[in-house]
Amino acid sequence: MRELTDKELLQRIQQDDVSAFETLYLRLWESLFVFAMKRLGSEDDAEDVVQEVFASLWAKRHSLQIRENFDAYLYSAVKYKVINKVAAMLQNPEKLELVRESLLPAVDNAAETLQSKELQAIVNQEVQSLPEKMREVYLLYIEQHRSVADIARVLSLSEQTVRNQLGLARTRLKKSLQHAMLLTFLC
Amino acid sequence: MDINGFEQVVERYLNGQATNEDLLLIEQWLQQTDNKEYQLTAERKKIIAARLLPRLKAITQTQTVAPESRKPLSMFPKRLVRVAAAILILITTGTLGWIFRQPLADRISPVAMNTIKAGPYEIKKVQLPDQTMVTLNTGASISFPVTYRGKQRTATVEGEAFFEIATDKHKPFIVHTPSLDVTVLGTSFVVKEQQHFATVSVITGKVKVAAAEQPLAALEAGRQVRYNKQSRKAALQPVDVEQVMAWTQHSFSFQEVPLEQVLQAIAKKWNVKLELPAVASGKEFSGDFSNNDSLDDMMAALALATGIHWEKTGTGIITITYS
Repeated sequence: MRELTDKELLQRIQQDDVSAFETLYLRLWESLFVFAMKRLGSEDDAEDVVQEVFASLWAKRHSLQIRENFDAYLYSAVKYKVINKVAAMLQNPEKLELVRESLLPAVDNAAETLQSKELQAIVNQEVQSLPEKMREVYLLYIEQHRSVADIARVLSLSEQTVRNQLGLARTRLKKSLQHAMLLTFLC
Repeated sequence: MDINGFEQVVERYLNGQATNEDLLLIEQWLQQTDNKEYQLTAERKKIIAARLLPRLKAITQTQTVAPESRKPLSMFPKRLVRVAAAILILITTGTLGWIFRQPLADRISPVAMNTIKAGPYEIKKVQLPDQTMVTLNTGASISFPVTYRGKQRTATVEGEAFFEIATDKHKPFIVHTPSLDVTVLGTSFVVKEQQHFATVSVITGKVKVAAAEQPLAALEAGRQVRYNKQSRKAALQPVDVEQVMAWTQHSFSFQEVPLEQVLQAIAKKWNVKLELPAVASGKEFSGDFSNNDSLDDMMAALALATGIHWEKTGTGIITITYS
């Protein structure tokens, strides 16, 4: 007999088929558990998440309309339950140490990544707004690692002009970055 | 971020009042934490599965059993039930769970993808997470997951690329091009996708080639399949391995070749345009260029050997004059 797909199991679950529900549970619990465990760092809370995802699936089985993709539904469900669990952990004095030592540093890492992406976007934008020749010089120097002499030859400029343009470009970029960072500190 | 700040983000998220920054932070955190080292050991898995099973039963029972008798009544000692549950879980997850674990993991928490593109001037070497080496010809690009999990390895390429697949008999490697799928275990080959044709040339080992899920050919070393994208017909032919790979060596070797052809070859390698005098020079050139030679190095060497004059504009056009 061939294995039923998730979708076929789901159809049976909607007709109150308990064994189909159990099959789906056994098939999926580990992935969900590992997902929650990586975020929460606590086994009992990750177990709760698995339980809650399936409890809500069972409770909603008649009204559930999964048009496109069951995995997308699962992902959003497990995501929501994980965040819900984070909220509960934040209220639980026994979990505060775990939150401080493992959860918060991970959130800080994420915030740093976002900030550096943002700064990179600011730099890119500023580079785009440089005058054409200056931008050309800057990109050849920064992205293609060409030497000043090389750039001078390629663009038919004097080496001193290339150096001047590079200096000006750097000053402009630095200014806009400082401005952006000042804003992030103030916020 | 302090606990209060984080608490507020989470609260806004759950109340449906999250700002864009909140949403970005939460998504970034969810994604980034996926790289966390965590291994569910077989031993822990058993214990957790045993703890979860009675809770699974409780889910479906709450609706069919009246609230006052919700507490499960069992004629078996609790411990015995747990052991039985553990055995059941072991049996079931040993088959179902194992088969479906990887693809689902991919969909629940997808592995991040890397995309690398060779610029118009460069031939680029890329190492994939399984130690497979890929050489991208100018303008080609490749996408691959940052780690390989599951039963197979995959990569998607556009343009021309030379693959040296790291051998792993248990995990076939599948290279997708816009029109072909190439399946291998451990071998080296060149894929090349052009406007009307796609070719696969095998350098060592064996590969299987398919188009639109239909098998096209099983190829051995020194053979090439040339697939016509319009007619969807494939032709098999022998191929000169050295010639197919010539570009991966990053080098040129010219023996008494007319100067104009040398210039065209160099211009093609670096993807630049040439402006040549209307009348041929009548000169020939012999010489090799090494991997590290830049366009300027090559032009300088040519100028020195043949006495031509060259100039490069900012837009990448090279103007040649014969003296």
